[in-house]
Amino acid sequence: MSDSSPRPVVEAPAGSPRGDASRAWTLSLPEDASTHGHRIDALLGWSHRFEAGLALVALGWLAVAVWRFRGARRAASDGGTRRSRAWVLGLALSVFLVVDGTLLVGSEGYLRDVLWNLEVPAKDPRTVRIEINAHQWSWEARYAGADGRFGTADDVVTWNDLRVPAGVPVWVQVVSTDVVHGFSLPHFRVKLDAIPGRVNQTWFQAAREGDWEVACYQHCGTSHYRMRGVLRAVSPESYATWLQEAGRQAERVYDADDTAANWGWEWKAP
Amino acid sequence: MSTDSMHAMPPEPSSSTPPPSSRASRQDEGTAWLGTVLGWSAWAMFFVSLVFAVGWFRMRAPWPELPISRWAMGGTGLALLVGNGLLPLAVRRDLREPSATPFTPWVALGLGLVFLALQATWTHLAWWNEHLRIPEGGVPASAFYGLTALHALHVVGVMFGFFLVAVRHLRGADVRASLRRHVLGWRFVSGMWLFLFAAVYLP
Amino acid sequence: MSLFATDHKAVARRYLWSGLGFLLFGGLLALLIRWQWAFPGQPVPGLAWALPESRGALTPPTYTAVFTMHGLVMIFFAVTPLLFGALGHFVLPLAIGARGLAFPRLSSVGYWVYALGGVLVLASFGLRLGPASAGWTAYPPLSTSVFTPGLGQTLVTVAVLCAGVSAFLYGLNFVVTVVRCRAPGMTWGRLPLTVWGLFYASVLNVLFVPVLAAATVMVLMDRLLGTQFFVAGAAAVGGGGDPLVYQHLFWLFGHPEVYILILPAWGMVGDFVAFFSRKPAHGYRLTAGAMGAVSALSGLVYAHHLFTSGMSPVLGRTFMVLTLLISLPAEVMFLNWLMTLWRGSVRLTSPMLAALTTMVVFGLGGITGLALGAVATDVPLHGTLWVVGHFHLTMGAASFLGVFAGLYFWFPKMFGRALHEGLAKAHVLVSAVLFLGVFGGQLAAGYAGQLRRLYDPYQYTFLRHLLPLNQWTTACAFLLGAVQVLFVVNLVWTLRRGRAAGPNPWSVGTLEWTCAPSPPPEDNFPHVPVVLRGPHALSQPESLERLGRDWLGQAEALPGEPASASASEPPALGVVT
Repeated sequence: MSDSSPRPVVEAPAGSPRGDASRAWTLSLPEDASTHGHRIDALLGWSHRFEAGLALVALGWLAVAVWRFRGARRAASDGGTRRSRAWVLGLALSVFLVVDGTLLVGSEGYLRDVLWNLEVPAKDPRTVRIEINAHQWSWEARYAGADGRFGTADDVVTWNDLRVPAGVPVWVQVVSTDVVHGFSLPHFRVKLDAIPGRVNQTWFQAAREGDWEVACYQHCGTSHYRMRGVLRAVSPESYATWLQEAGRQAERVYDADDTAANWGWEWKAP
Repeated sequence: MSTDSMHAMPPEPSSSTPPPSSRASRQDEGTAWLGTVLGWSAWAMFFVSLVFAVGWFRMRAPWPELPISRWAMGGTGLALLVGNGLLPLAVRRDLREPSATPFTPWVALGLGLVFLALQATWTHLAWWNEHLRIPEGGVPASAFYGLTALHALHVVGVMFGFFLVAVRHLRGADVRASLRRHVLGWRFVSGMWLFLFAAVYLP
Repeated sequence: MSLFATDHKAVARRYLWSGLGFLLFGGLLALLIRWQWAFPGQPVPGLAWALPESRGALTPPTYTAVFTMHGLVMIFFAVTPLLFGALGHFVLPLAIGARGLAFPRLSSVGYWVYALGGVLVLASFGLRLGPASAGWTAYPPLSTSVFTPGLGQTLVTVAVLCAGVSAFLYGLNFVVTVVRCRAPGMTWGRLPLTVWGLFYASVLNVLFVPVLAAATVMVLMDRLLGTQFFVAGAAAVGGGGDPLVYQHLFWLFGHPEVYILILPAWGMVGDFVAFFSRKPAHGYRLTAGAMGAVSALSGLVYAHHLFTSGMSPVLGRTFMVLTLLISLPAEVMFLNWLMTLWRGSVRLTSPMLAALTTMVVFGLGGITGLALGAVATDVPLHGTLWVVGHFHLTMGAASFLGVFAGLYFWFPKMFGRALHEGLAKAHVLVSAVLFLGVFGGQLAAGYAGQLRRLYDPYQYTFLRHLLPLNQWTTACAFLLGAVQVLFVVNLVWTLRRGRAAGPNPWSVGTLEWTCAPSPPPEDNFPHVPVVLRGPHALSQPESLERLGRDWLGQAEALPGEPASASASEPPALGVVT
C-alpha cells in the first residue's frame, strides 16, 4: 500500500528534455515518478515477456512449418485427428489461462489497491484535493485554500500549473467546460477523461520532487496538441507555504459576481 | 429501407395452371419474406439504441412533469395499432380477389396519414404550445421531438412502400406477395411506436 | 457493361475500383500525417497547390481534418468496401453455388448509396472550412456545430450514414443469400471458411450498423435541428445531455466493426492456408466455431475503449474479463492455421504469401492488444500510438493484406487473366515488411508515451527524443506507399495484355473454380452444381489414385462414387481436361 516516506529527492531542472534520442529505440515507458506506478510497469514488463514468447512461438512455428514442408511430396489427407484438435484446444486454453490470467490478476490487484481504491486519499489526513476544469485548450486547477472548502473566496486557481507535495496522496476531480478532454500525467500512469457534465476522479502520489508534464490525450480541437500543463512536485513544506500565500492573494482579488471564474463545486464523495 | 427492391427476379406471370417455375418463384417469395423479416428485425437495433440513450438520460435526471396527459398522447398510436389489425384483413381480401383493385395500400396510406396528422397537430403542437420546445427544452424536448420525428420518418417510408405497390398494381404487376411483405413494415413501425411510447412518454 | 447492372460480379467490380481509389486517397492522407510527425510544420513537397497560404505546410486545422478523414475514408470507404463490396459480392454467390445474390437490385442500390457517400466525402474537401475534423470517432460535443462549425462535418457525417446504409444492405443480402441460396448439397459444414467469415461479419453488420446510425443521427439532429442530446452537457457540472452516451453507442458499433473488418480476412486465411498446404484445414469446425465465438463476443467487449472514461468499477471489471476472454477463440483459430501448415505441402504462391503475412501482422497485432484489455496496463497505453500501432496491425495491415490475398487469388476468376506472380509476391512481401516497420515504430513511440492526434508531439519535452524514431517510421511509410506501384503496374499491365488464366490455376476444388468459367457468365453456372463434399478435399488418397491429381471439386463425383442426385448432369467445368 501507500509508502509515504519521501524518496531521495532528485531535482530535475525545469523544462529539460528527459532522456535522449538513444532512449527512443529501447522501448521504454516514460520515467516513473509516482509511488505506485512501478506496479503497472512491472505488469507491463510481464506482458512484454508473454508477448515476446507468444510472438516467438507463433511466428517461429509458422517459419519452421513453411521451411520444412515447402513443396513436400506428400501432404497429410486429414483435417486433424481428435487428439490434434484436443491438443489445439488445450494449448489455447493454457496460453489463455497463463497470459490473460496474469494480466487479469495483476490488473485486479492494482485496481483494488490503487486505481479504484479512493479510500486511501479519503482516509489520509494529508491528502491534497484538486479540482480540475479542462478548457479548449488549457487546464484550470483549483485548490480549496486554507478553509479546506471549494467554491469559497480563498480558493487558489492556477492555469496549466499544477503543484503538489511529494509523498502525499493527491486526489483530483476532473470536469470539462466544453468538449471531452483527457487528463493525463504520463509520468504518474494517470489517465482520466474530462467530460462535460460529469465529475470523474482519480488519485496519485508523487514519489519525489520534480517537474513533470500534463498532457491531453483526447482529440479536443485544433490546438489539442498545445494543451500542455506542468506539474510541480515540491516538498510538503514549500507546498504549504505556496498555498498559504496564493490563498491570501486569491482572497484579495476575489469577485463574487464573476460566475465564470467561480466554477468550483462541493467536493464529491467517492 | 426499401423492401420494394427485394425481388430476386421479375414477378412470374400468373396463370391458372401453375407453370414449371412456380416452385422457384415460391422459393423467391420465401427469400424475399425472410429478407424483409431479418431486415426489419435488425433495424430494430436502431430504435433499441435510441431508447438506450433515452434511458441513460432518464437515469441521470428524471423527465420533467409533462403538461399534457401522456395517455391522450398515446392515442395517436392507436392509428398504427388499428392498422395492425386491419391490414392483414385487407391483405386477405386482396389475395382472395386478385383481379380487383387491392385495398391494402389505401388502408395503409389512410391510417398512416391519420397517424402523422395526429402526431403533428395533437402531440407536437400541444408540446410546442406548452412551451416544451427545442433547443430550450434540453434533452427531454429533444427526445420527444427527435425520436417521434425519426419514427414518423419510418412511417412515411412504409407508406411510400405501399404507395409504390399501388403504382405497380396500376401498371399491371402482380403485387400480392409484396403486399404481405409490406405489412411487415407496418408491424415494425407500430411495434417501435409502442417501444418508444414506453421509453419516452411513460414516467 | 451498364453502370446500373445488378449482376453481383458487376457490382463487385464497381466496389473494387471505388475501394481501390479510396484506398489510395486514404493512404495519401496517412502519408501527410506521417510527414507532419517527421518534419512538423514544414511544407509538404508538392502540396503547395492545395494549401497555398501555408505554402504546402500542414496547419493545425488541416492536420485535424487529415487524420479524421484518413480514418473515415479507410474504414468506411476503402477497406470495408473492398472486403465486402468487392471480394464479398464477387465470391459469396459463386462459392455457395448460387446464381446470384438473393436481392440483386438491393446490392446495386447499396453501391450507389455508398458512391453518394464517397462523393460527399470528396466534395467536403472543397469547402471553405474543410471536411470533418472531429476525429473518426466524432465524439460530441466536439462534433456538434458549437465546436466544429461548417458544412464539412455535416456532409461527412451524412456520408458515414450512407456507407452505413450500404453496409446494412449488403450485410442483409449476404445473410439471406447464405441462408437461402446455397446449391443443393452445400451444407453449412461444407461452406468455405471465407463464406463463414463473410457470413459472421454480415450478421455483425446488420446488428451493429443500426447502432452507429442511431448515434450518428443524434449528432446530426444536434447539428441541424437544434436538439440537445449531447450539447446540453457542455457545462462544467450538471446540464441535461450527456456526451458519454454517444461514446457507448459508438463503441457498441465500433468494436464489432473491428471484427467486421477482419473476419472476412480470417476466413480467407483459413481457406488459403489449406489450399496451398494441399491439405484439408485443421479443425474446420473448430475454426468456424471460433470465428462464431469471436463474433458473438464482439458486441460484449466494447467498453474497453472507455476504461478511462470514469466507468464504474463493476462495469470496468466486467468488460476487462470479457475482453480478455475474446482472445481464447482467436488463439484456437490461429493454432488451427498453424496446424494446417504442419505436414502439408506448402506452395508459396502470391495468395499464400499474402495469407501468411496476414497471419504474421495479425498475430503481432493481437498480441500487442493483450495489454490493452486489462485496465491497469491499459491506462499508460490508452490514447497513445501503442493503440494506433496495435489496431493498424490488426485491422489495417492484416485487412489490407487479406484484401490482396483475396484479390490475387480471385483475380483470374474476376477478369480471366493471370497477374504476374513475381510482381504480386514482391508486392505482398515488401508491403508486409514495411507494415511491420511502420506500425512497429508506432508501437515503440506509443510505449514511450507519444499521444495520438498531436499536430506537433514535440511540444511535450518528454516526447522530444522520439523525433528520430518517428522519422524512421515515416521513411517506412513513404516506402510502403511507393511499393504499391508494384501492384498498380501489375494490374494495368495484366488488364491490358496479361495472359489468359487457366480454368483452375490454383488447383483447388471450390465451386467458383471447378464449376464456372473465368470470368463467369451472367448467371454464374451452366448448371447449378450439386455439392458432394467440403471445400478442402485436397491430397485425398482416392483422388490421387483414381484421378492422378491431389484435388477434388466440391461438386465432382469420383469415378464409381455413388451417383448423386444429378448424375445425369454433364461433368463440371475444369474437370473435363
